Amino acid sequence: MGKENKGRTDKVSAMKPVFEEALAFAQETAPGAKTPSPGTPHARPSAAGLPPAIAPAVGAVQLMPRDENVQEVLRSRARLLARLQKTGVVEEARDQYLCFRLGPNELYGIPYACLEELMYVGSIARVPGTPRAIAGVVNRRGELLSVLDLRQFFRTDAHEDASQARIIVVQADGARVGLLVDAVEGNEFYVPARVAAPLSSDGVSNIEYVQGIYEGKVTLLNIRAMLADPGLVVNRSAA
Amino acid sequence: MAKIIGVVQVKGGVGRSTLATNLAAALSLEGATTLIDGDVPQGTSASWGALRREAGRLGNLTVTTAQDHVELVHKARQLVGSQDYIVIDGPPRIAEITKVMLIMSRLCLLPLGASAAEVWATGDLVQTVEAARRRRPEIDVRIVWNRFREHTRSARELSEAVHAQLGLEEMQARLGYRVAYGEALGRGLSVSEWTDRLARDEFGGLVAEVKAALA
Repeated sequence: MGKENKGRTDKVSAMKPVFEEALAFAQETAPGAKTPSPGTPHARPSAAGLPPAIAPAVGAVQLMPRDENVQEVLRSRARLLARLQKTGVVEEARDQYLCFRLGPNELYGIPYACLEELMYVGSIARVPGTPRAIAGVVNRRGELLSVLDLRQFFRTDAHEDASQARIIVVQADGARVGLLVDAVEGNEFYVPARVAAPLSSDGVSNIEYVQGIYEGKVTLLNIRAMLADPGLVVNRSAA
Repeated sequence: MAKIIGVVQVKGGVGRSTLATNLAAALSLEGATTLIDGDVPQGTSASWGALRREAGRLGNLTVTTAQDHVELVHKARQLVGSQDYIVIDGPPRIAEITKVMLIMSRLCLLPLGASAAEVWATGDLVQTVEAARRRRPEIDVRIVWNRFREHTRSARELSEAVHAQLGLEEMQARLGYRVAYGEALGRGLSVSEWTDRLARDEFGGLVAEVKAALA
């Protein structure tokens, strides 16, 4: 047996008392506590786990804890809850948004209310005479869907890796468009009251389509404003 | 010799299996790893393992189950010499299996969401941890905040209340409220194999912290 194997065997042997200790602890009853009876919070309240003589009689009343130790646990929980409420623990109103990336590190968000579908980027047909920001159209289960290249639209940095690119299908007021993005990062919660107004400056393009900036890092889009612009929807502008 | 990591929490639905499966997948990239699902017949981790096996993604990972504490100790004894890591997904109750996990594990992770209900249930578990520490003072139990909404006042205040009242250490890395965890789990994947970069990064931070704690 090599030194390494011998060392490993020694260490494994050293674990033996731990396993014995674990089994002994499993059998130990907490000091001052009675063995948990069916229906206490420590036991699974399922008829399958009860002795046959008890199982058929189990109902809501029988499952209520009567043990004094258990009742003390419930009382201490109630006291804890009362303390937490006094400290003003109140959830703020919040909504979900889909977070996506343009370029290597710019994060944007779309409120879930406008979100319809995520699509892999398949074949996008260019439409002659449309602005550069219109990537083209795709066939979405028989429907012609305009696809807006958001990187062009917001003039963000070029990003060569297209492997994670996706089309986010959004809708508002009956209009629908696909947004071509570099990667979808996941969903997040935001507190609408904490969305800061977008900063207007010469370097920012299409700011009218920005709802605001969340936590200084995510640009939340105003999808309703985007879809109200007839120049951004191919089938509308062609009509 | 295997380093044993237990994922314990007496309340259901707090992300125990999510934590155990993702941790097992990440550690299996470092060495031979076994994930033992101690919550059968629910078997979320075992089902995840079955999906992963079907997809040919197990690699260095073995997924098995333990019906009770005796079987769990028996399997740990068998595996401890051949594996680098053993991750145990415990049941959602203070059962014998939870107690043996506390004693056997080099590190116990306790997933906790920022809600009063989860804090109550954890209060019960803390008493068991204290009893276990009377036998083995070196037992290392740390809270992992899950579905944590960093920006909400309730989450911050609950975090402070838990720290003061439960007296358990917390992992610095916190897992956010992300669909990526559920989506990946349902496909037999880990978040490191999913598209959500934020989830990948935050879980990567947790894995690094776990490895540092085990070093």
